[in-house]
Amino acid sequence: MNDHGNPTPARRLAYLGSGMELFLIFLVNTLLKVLTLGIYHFWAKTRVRRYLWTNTEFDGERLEYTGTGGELFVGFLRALAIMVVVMLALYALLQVSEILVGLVVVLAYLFSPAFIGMLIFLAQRYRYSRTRFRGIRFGLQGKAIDYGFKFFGYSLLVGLTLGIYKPYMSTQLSSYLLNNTWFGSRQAGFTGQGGDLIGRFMLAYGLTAAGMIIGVILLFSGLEPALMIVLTVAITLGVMLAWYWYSVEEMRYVVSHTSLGDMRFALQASHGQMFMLSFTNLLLIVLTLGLAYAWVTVRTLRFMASHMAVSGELDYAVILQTQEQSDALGEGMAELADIGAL
Amino acid sequence: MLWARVWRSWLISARCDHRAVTAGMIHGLWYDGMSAARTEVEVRVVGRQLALLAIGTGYTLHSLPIEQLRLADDVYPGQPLRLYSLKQPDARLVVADHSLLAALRKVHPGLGRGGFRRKYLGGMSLGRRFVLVGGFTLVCLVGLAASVPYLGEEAAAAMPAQWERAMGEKIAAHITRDTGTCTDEPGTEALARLVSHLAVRNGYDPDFVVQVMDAAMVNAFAAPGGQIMLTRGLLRDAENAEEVAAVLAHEIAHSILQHPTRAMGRALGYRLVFATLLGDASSVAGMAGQAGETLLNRSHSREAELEADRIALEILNNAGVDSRGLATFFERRQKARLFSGPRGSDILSTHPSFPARVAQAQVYQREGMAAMALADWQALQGICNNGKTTSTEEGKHDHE
Repeated sequence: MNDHGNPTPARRLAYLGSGMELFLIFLVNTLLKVLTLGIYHFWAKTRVRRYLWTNTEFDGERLEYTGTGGELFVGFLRALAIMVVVMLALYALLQVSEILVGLVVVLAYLFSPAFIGMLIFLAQRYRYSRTRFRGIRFGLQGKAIDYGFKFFGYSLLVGLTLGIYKPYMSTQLSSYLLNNTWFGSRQAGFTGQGGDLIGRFMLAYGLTAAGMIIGVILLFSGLEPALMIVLTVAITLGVMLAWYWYSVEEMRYVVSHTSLGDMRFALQASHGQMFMLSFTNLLLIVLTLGLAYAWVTVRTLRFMASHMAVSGELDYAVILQTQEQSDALGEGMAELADIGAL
Repeated sequence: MLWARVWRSWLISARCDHRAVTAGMIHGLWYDGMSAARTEVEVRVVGRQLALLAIGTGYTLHSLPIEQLRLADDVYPGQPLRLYSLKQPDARLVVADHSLLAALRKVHPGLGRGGFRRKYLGGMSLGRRFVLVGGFTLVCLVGLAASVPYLGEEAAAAMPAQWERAMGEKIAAHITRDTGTCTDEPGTEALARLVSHLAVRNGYDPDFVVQVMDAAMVNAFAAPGGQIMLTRGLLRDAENAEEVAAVLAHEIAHSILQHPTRAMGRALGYRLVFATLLGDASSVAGMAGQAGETLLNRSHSREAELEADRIALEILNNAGVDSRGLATFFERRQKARLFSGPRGSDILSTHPSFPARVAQAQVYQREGMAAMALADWQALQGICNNGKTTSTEEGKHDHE
């Protein structure tokens, strides 16, 4: 082990959970949800997180999830109360001026990406603050509203540039989230730049454009219908593969530009391996009508953990506990807005 | 002896396996909650305290009151115990040797047991738990899935008549919304006389609300609270008043048996069960659930239709009306059938098959008098004639 200067094992991150155990948790959760008309949802979610966290081992110690279902439920109720107040206010406003209400609704719709960004940030902050490793809490600093407006602004740019800004948006957002991530008093970091990804992005983008042009040409070429269908399917699959390739490239890029102290990460899975994982997962889900979800979750986590190379050491002794406040309101709102996360 | 201690501590640190347990000694890892540093300790129960001793020197680093210890996480088989003390909620003690738990429970029996607390699940293998817990849960789920729709049905059937009526009016308004209804006065009065005749002779309250939809399809519906709808197409298709009376009696039977209300309660129950069962699962499972829901409802409506046919024949027979119209109507519809089978309580549900319904009708049917006076029959046939409402969506197969 590393505290003692022994050689670093090749794989320091491991996922130790079992699909059967997770399935059992799902099963019991389902029963309790039915019995409580769904209110158990929050406790169920917490139970699943606890299991996923506690089976994630790093340097011989497991993660711990300390959130509670009650906390999530209260967050949800508070979000619901705010929603009701907003609705009542809108209703009251409706008596005064219909145009004003229309304006408010249009503005709310326009700014919804900002709101979604805020919720993603707040939910992440809640999860971090309830995650411990070696007794030390994780934390997310920064402001939800900043992240929300970044999210909004970048979404706008992506729209204006016909999607070409997307890799910049991803790296900028990752940068804000990761540079504000703390393990106790140790700050994580992210040094990625959209410019590094744009070449690969444009390759997939260009292939998509080419595929579309060829598709249109085919449409007017008067080819045999059967041949046309085969070609269209081939082009569609080709475009999908190009984007899959890009998403793996981006994931690997983000991972390899993330740091925690002196620690660096690398996702050492080939495109083929990643593709096989996604493909077999899809097959499992479809063939079992979703019953294999627990196994799919576990094998995905196990795959990711076992292909994650970690280099460099953390000086655990100088990482201190910090006090950070966070509540489940954001997660409650995310729940209302149906922004799913685990 | 000193050299032995040094040797032992060297051995442990060299192996550096926190799961290592030297005979008679329980090894633990202590994180003090202030930093992420790890301290290896020997753990020993001393009275009501858990002593953490420095490896090698045996010096007591900490002493934790056992009653204040809690599991920080659920413990699954093969996983170490992770404990914290109420006094030091940030600190963690990690012990791989589960035998410590038994020693702690002698002082603090509730540790890792009961309620919403973190649980110790290491006592039973996963396979066994899978069979016991999983089996029990499955039995409960199947029991619920079977009983909730039934409960929903009974609850719906027991609702106050006023609510049922209000709900039925809404549903009827919804069904007739697109097509409009035929309200020619002589026809309406003739229909009311037929309804009242059938009801009174059978001892029912004649408070059924029977409307004729201005739609070309051949169909009839019953909604909760005595709401009944026939279609213009049905009146045109019928060869005589007895067929219309038979269809009407069928819908009255549904109403008397509370089939529409019960079907709604049951559907709600199924929806509830499937929604909660599949709430987290994929959309594939969602679709499978919906198919299952429809299928279960269908199989239920088969019996309901046969029952309604039987009661309809009774109603007609009690009223002295010739009840051979039901069989002739079905026979003709079978030949003409081009319909996709709607669900619920409409007259042309695909289940059960027409031959079965015809066969049953022929067993119970009886000769009798005409259902209505000739003038009334003609008035009823002309109920849509005065052009008060226009049919917009001809042939649309609306239902429920």
